[in-house]
Amino acid sequence: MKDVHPKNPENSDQHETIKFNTSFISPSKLVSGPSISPAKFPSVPTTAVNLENAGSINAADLLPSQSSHTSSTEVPDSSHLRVANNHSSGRFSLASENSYVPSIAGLTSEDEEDDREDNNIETSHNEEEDLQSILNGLIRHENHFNGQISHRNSLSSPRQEISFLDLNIFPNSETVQNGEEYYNKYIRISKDEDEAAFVEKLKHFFILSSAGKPVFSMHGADDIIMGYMGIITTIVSTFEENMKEEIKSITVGDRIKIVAINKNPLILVAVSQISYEMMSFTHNESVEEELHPRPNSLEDHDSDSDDLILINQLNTLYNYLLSILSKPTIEKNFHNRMNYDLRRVLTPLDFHNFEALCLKLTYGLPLLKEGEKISDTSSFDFYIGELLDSSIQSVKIRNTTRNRLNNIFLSCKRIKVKEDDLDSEVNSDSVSFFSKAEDQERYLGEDLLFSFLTTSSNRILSFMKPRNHTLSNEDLKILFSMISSAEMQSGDSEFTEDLWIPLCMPNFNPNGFLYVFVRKFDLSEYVEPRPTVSQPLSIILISSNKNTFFKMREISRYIITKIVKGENSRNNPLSRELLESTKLSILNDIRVPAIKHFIYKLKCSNQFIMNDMVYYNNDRSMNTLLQLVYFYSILHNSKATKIKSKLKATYNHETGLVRQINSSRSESKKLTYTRWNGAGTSVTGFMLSDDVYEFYCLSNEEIGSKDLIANSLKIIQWCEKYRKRLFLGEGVTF
Amino acid sequence: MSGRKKTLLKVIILGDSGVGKTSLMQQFVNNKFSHQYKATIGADFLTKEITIDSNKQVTLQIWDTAGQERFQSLGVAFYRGADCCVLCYDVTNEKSLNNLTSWKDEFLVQSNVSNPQDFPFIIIGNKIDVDDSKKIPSLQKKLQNITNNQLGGLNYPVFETSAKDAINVESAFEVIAKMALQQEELNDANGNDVSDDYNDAINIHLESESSGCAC
Repeated sequence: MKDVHPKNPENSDQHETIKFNTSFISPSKLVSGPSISPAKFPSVPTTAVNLENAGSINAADLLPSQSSHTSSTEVPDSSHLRVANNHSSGRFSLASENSYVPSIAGLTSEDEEDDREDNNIETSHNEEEDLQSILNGLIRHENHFNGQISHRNSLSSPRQEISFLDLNIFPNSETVQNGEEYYNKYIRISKDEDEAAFVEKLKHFFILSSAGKPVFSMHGADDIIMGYMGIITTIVSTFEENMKEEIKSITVGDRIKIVAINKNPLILVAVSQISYEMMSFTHNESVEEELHPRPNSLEDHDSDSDDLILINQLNTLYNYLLSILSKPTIEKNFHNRMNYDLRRVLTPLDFHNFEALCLKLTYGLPLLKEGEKISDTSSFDFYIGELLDSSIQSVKIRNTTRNRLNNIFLSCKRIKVKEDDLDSEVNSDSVSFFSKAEDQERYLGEDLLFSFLTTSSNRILSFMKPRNHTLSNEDLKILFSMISSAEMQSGDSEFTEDLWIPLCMPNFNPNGFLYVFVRKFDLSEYVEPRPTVSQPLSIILISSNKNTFFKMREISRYIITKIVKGENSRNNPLSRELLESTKLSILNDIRVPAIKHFIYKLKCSNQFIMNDMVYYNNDRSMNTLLQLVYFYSILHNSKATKIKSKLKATYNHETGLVRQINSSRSESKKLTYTRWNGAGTSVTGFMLSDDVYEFYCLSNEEIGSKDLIANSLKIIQWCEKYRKRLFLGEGVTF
Repeated sequence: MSGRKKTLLKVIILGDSGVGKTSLMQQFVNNKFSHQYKATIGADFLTKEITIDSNKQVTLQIWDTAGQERFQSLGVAFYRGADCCVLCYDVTNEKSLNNLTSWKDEFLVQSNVSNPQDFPFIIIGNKIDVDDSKKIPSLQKKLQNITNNQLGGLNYPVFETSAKDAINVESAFEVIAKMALQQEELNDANGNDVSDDYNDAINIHLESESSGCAC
């Protein structure tokens, strides 16, 4: 949900926007109006209030230093900054060069961390009060406009579970009886020949060759899509040939957005009718301003990268194609043959994976068979990771355990074997100089580049990488998706089958393949007494040499032996920690009952943790999932407001390490508060971020601003306290 | 490896305005004919699945272009990556016959196909249902002149059709599909699908001291 916004920082560097039918119902450009922009949604279900707008009313008493004239077009302060996204600086890689910024300098042992608690509570007191007063202002402001909210059901009805339909997340919610019907009609992937049903779908993806031959379409039979392929080709190439520039996007009124990327010889197109995917173009921009885009100022870059959500989705699809084919393969196929039909080299599994990606990217939904229920949250995890700029999710284990696992990996690189011991045929021409020196002995893992130990849900416990190479989070996501789908193909995971997958990592190197060995095993089998819950883990070994399957298998056996050895001899075996980690209910542990779901992202390493979605509504249903996706998308994509000076001043009075760090943090502290109403209940969303973290939480209970702030800060402090357990760290480097 | 057996062929229909390109396509795809003339704006796209040699499934992706001059700027997009091309004229309109050569040349220039001499074209003379008196006088001779011209001649199969009475339409499209399929198979023999062996391993440069000797 976007607010009326005085600025028009047209982002022209990359994305030339063409608008047809720019039929904005243009309310006053002054910001003193409500933040609800009725032009966007047929009926306004939610109230998104950002501090920024509230500021124009309450700024005087709340934020004395901030200009109260947010309505002027040239407010010099950066109160319009959105959550810093770092789009411009590229994506983070897993093993980012940045190390964690410790909260207290020199703090290393976890015991010391405990001592800090008192300190924190004390210092956060002021912060808490300040945040609270700001939030109070916001809430007062919001109540002002509550009268405008129309409900599907009457306000007076007793609290009941909200359906995603009540929230008008998607258009046409009123045309169906229930969520399932809506899903079938507007969301579910369908390859029918029914064109009327085809155009109803909220989201479309097309991949086609520059000649207009289809490669993939999310919906619709060939008969239907063929015409669209022709139209897309025509539009794209007309821009290319006649206007000498690439088309970026087309917006049709405020309902439909079409985004295209040209990856010659392929074109990828997304068509969306989903409000949270096209939030940023709903500013009230006048046409003149469109024609004369302002130079990009840095501070507006993020907030107005209009098509970024859809562009990122298209890039993810393109990366999938690269990962299975590699760039040279695609180019060679089309070389001198523009009429090439790329579908010929794609397998049914590839099309299945494309469909699954489309649903995950758009709705966070898994690809379900008819009548199938959602069984895990991996698709939701994926969505949140994408939303938070390719962030990856961590597992809570003790730092010492992580280090132990890292060291096991490191020791793999030191295993020497006699060549005869290997099952594999050894290429005589690739004998390294080690073996010459040490007579018939060589390193088993000489071709091993990256190693990962992951849980069954593809969360990394520990990893090893070469000193001069890293895998980006995008590449990791492709890796994990591929492993999941390969496992799914091989049927029930019986832990017996080793996988060997050639895979191109587009960010690492789009021109060639790495070879991925995957060994799955159940840790619980090695523990006495055997736990009732199985604890599947995967060892992923990535080799640069196609012929090293047997070596990698040898290494995986070694790793399992080493991990298992620790299981029975230590007080805190990995299996128990993992068990606790999955049971972990942070919200109960630290007594914040009103907050039902939260995400904490550590910016420097681009990793996040969140609690299980089951705590939100006591289920993992599609209804809950779609709501969470919506709430977090809005929270993340709304413009947040920088909290200025007052906090800073407070901190400046203080001395000591903690305050100094906090003080520098407050420079970029941002906050967003949003409230959604429907079916007589409401959901509160809250975002707080600074240089170190982004924090998002949801509450579907009545919660006062005081509790909201206090609880949020409590969780944030908890996350900081256990940072080393919660986040992966830098792995180990050889 | 191949995910689908069906071959997809991009068919371009060219010819002067009003010769009946859209009617031919409508007759072929939908078995319909409309007496009303409605100029095509830009292009129309239709698909039709046919079986060739009783076992080869082919999907024809037919690009029906506008004959009018003012839409010619859309050229490259339409022609790029075509598998075959249908050149149409009107048996009652001599100018449309004479223009066939320039349509062909236009196509070859715009589409930039790799070996133009082998590219599959066919010629369709439409509207044979009309009264003989309206037809081009000594049509066969004139047609011969065009097709057998040694310099850049249009030595391609010729079909005389009626989109209105559904005469010869189907067989014309079958022939063009066959020709395109042959060309496709020829291409495949030369340059196989490149996806063979995942052999493009990356040459990883690990500095020597970091390549495993961590002692």
